[in-house]
Amino acid sequence: MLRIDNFSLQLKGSDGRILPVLEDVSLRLEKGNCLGIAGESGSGKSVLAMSIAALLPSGAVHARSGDIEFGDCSILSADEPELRKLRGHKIGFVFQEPMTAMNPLMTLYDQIVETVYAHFSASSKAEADSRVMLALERAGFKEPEKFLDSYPHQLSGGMRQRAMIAMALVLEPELIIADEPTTAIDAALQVQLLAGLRRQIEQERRSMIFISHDLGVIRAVSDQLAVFYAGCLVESGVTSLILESPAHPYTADLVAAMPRLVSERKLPVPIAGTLPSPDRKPAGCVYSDRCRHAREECKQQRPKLRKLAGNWQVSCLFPLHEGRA
Amino acid sequence: MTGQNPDKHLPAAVLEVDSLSRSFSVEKSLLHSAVDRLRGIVPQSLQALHEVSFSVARGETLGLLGESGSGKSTLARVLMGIYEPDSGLAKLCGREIFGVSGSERLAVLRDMQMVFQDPFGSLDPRMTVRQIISEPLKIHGLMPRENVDAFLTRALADVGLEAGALGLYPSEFSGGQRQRIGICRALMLNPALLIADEAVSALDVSVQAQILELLIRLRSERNLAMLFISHDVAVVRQISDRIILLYRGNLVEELPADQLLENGCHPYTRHLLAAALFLREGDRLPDASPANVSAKVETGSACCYFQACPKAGKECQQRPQLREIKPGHRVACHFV
Repeated sequence: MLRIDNFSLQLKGSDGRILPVLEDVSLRLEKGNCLGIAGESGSGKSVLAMSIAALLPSGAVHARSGDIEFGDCSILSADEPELRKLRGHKIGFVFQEPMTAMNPLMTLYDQIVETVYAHFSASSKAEADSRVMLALERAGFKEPEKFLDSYPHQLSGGMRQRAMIAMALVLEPELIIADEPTTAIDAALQVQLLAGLRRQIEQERRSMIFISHDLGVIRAVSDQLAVFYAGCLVESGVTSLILESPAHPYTADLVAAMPRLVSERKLPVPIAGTLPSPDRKPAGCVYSDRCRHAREECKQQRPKLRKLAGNWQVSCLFPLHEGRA
Repeated sequence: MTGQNPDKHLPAAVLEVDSLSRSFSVEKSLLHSAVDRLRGIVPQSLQALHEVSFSVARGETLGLLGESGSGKSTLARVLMGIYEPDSGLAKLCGREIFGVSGSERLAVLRDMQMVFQDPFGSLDPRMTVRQIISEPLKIHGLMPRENVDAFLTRALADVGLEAGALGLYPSEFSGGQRQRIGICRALMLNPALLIADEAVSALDVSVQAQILELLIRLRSERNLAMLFISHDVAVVRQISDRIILLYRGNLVEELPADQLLENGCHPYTRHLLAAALFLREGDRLPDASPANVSAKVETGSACCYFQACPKAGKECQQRPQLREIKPGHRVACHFV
């Protein structure tokens, strides 16, 4: 249902620099599946999400190439009225920061019902109300009627996150894009929200793109995984297989940097150095300056994505293994 | 760094906290609270900390775990003097923290510094790194007279930053580097105790590991005591020697960090561990989903975890006392 082929994106920096933020990204997402997108801040994962929903301001885009197709609509060539129909209705977006994404002067009910009227101006109030209530229940509000008149500041952090999810669900979109929807909340609450989202996907045959820097969270919700580094897709495939034995050294380093909860207390292993900014990427492989396995060839040429087993893809000249089914 | 404070070597415990309590009045409009008073209703209050006692020894890291609203940050703020406690005592290097003012208070605070969660909000965007890290020295009158730059450069090198950073503004650094600046500022006074409130929570995992490594190195080099506050079970377990768990302002369990997984036994501890094991290790979730209890419901004299606890029974109407079940392991639960 979602096909991204060789998508590249260059943005214009505020100082006129041209920033290659995404390079040659190819991904697929099937109906009823959840794709997890992992990467550090600055790796291009949010920009990709914004590109899928065509939310980037046109003034910031310098150039884009390749294809993004959602159903039978080509996002890159669609005009604004077409895109408007798509956003909200077909593609729901859960934004990162509920406190800034919600209007502080609107009640919970008003924020959610606004979307309904924007897409179905002829809906009756009763119809709109029932959609709102259903969305809130699906997002995990136990007694939604109690909170309808609350303003964002009167809701707890967890409730605001759920409100964001309800706003994305209210028009029953085919695809939900959730950008770090559970960062900065407690494990117990995260688990509840993630389990709720997962249920939505399975029961209603929706699809989801779930963006996070936390591989543990991604493992909990996604079937497929795409790992980004410095604007490049470095590895993608089945989540459980990749996390069990990563093929790209960066994925392996990311797994090793995660704090673990196993009997032996071992400190997570930091990745030395920092993510390069988009205009200072190494000439060869984008990870070559931090990679412990990098050889001379890695510094010369940027590797292309290539297939290992099944749908497992990796862009590395010397992957840690050649794919395991 | 600055001259050693002689009496910080004397007591074994750097920080001793005894029965610390703090409550907040629940916000109501002026009219509502006036009407309540006429009707004889006692104004509601939220018990953010309830008789919390613990200590941190020199060179030791005490992890403080709890979910949002458990009172973690309130505890840090009461210790730092941002809030006054309702009751309770606390000693830092043998000296009373509360009830002192002026120069005496300043002298106490010198031994206790804080690293904040938000690497963006906690540094003044209009100050250079030089100004940021020398501000504590100025406040305490400890600015060296000569070779200031060499002194500041050494302090930066200690946290892994280069001398060139001195003239730059916070906006010119990444999140991880800013957190290093925040740590550098906290260490300028050579404190005995460092309070880190969610100091790595806002960082990417790869950077998180770098900052944890830095904190561990600094702790052993300087024999620092650290109160490491976080909601992340895995991180707290890695970095701490001992762990205390707060639930709605109550200390429910205290134990050595290497025993948390196997021997943590308060029902709330188990609940927190199950969620963390699910997220970190992909373990199966326990079927019973925990009740979501509003923090505003008062538990009165009952156990603080009574409403959410799967084991709750009649006994739990009575608040359980913290009791020691093994050396160094204290639990507040009737069923343990």
